[in-house]
Amino acid sequence: MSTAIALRLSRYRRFAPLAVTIILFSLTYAYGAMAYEGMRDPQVFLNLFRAAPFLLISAIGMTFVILSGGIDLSVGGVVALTTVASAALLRAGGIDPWIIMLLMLVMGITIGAAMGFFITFLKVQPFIATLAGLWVARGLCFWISDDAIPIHNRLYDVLAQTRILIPGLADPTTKQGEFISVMVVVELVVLVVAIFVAHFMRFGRTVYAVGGNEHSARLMGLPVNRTKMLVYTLNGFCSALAGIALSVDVSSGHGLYAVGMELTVIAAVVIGGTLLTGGVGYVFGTLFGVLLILVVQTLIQFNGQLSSWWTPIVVGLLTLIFIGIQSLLATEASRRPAFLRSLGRAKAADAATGERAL
Amino acid sequence: MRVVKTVVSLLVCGLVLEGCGYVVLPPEASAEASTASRGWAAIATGIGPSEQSSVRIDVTIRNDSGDWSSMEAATDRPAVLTAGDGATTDCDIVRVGTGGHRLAPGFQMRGYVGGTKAEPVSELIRVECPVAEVTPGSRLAIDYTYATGEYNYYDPDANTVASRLEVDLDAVTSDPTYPIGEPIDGLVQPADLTITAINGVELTLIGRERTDSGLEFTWQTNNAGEYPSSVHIGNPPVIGNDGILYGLYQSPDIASVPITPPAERASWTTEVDVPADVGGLYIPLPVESKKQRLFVYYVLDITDS
Repeated sequence: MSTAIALRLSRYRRFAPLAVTIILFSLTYAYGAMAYEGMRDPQVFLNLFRAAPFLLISAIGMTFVILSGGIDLSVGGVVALTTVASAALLRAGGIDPWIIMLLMLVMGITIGAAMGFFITFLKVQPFIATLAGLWVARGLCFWISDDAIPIHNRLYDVLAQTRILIPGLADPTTKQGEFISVMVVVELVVLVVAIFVAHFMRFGRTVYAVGGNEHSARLMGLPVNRTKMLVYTLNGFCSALAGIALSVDVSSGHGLYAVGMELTVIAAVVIGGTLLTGGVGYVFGTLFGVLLILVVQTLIQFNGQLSSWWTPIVVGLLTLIFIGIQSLLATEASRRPAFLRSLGRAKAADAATGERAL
Repeated sequence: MRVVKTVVSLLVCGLVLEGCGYVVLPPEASAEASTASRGWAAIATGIGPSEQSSVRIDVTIRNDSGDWSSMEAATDRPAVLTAGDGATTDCDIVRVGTGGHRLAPGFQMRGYVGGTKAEPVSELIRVECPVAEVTPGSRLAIDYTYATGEYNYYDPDANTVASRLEVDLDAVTSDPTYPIGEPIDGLVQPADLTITAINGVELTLIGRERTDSGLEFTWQTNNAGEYPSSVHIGNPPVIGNDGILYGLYQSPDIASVPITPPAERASWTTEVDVPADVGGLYIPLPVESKKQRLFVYYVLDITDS
């Protein structure tokens, strides 16, 4: 009986950081709803998704990078560069805004692929390669324009201001009630696709394998280099998409946007339960990592007495706590009884065999 | 199987059509600009030698646009002095503008604060021309742009119009009345006016005090709503009976303001440097209203300060 419980606990141990994040988010929101009447309004909950689509989109890309055992510090720079470049192209005129968005995504993919090339084939440390990417992107922002460039474009207005009413919470005849924005739909689509890719596609499983143990993955014949390249390329795409979301949100582009965003994104991924060492984590957890950060901001706003600097303080503390939990779990795993470990290995072998058979 | 596909297709079409009713597109932006307004007017208030051995023409500008407005002389074109005999001279030193602030309709001014936050400089509105003297029948033409109405941070160039000021240099008015050139009924509000700002938050000027360097204003917001909210007003300038608009311009969304929690009040202070001997003061006040970063203007009467 006790062995069965131990086995069950052992099986679900990997969900512990994710569960902690979800519980913490729920408790924080519940506290806010009890303390502040306004937070009981469903719109406040929906606003968590409306507040920062760029943060979730970027965090999803970063989740893949961290799962593969890497890190990407360039996201803030690429996001800012996307806002500035798209605003400058729109100001110059003559190009369809859809084409500009497409160009921005291609730009993000190119930057991501370039950093992936340096990391994968030239064996440059991800920290260094992406830090260089950050500098280059920020520098390019100010090469394009020192000042903020406003965006006056109907498509951007539509994307920013269109309200998608929530059935049951809004009245379509009066056009009043709770709503989300177009970018919320975009971020949720990105989330669903990312979950599918991470857990139901060969690429996703390879990312986990590479992050868990790159050497073993190579020995198993997995395409490690291609996967690492693709991971940074994917993150470049996500950064550019996040930049488009930010430029839609603020209707302008500026080289000083998204300063330090890369660290917030990494914090969201860690708080969401992804191990910084790679190989363990869930895209779904990243959603709650982002939501937890945003609910902390919301609470501070509702309180009204606290400085906005409390947000980074709380995020910093949460990150430390979650890294501590991860470290504890890793230590615990190494101390597990031998028979549990062997049982776990046997199950993993069974799963792999089944996968091959499939 | 074909029936199932048809049913599913019909269901999807029905859902999409039904869903369209839940999508609310933003209204088309109005392209109307206040081109019908008379823009700004200018009069010469003094003509004399400048420090650079040329002629200095002091100018007072008045907002005749019929709405709140900021104006600035074109930076890429000189002012043109046309003498009585038709000879023209380019005048490169052109300090004509409101310094970025919006001024109430009917108000007039003769100077503003320029420079930087660290080193603000008081600029008198003037044009300097490289001529020995201004002959009778001379006129001064200044190209400028002006923006009218509410200030939208996300669309700062809205309602911007290019125009030209014509200054008759034969008619020098040495002592215009500042700051109100043409009174407009109902424009000037009492200092203790309660202003309904963004999200229904009420803003009131609850205190004003003379300090060593100028004036300190205490603002209070009262949030009767359910949500926390903040009301940006920037650092409001003042204009008094010397015709100088005191207070370096910064976009009104930049100055930080406290968040007002639901069903509570918040207060903060702003300061403006103004000489102690300047009286008859008014506050041109931008207040974040209707939606984020959209500023509606009020003029508060603090002539008893």
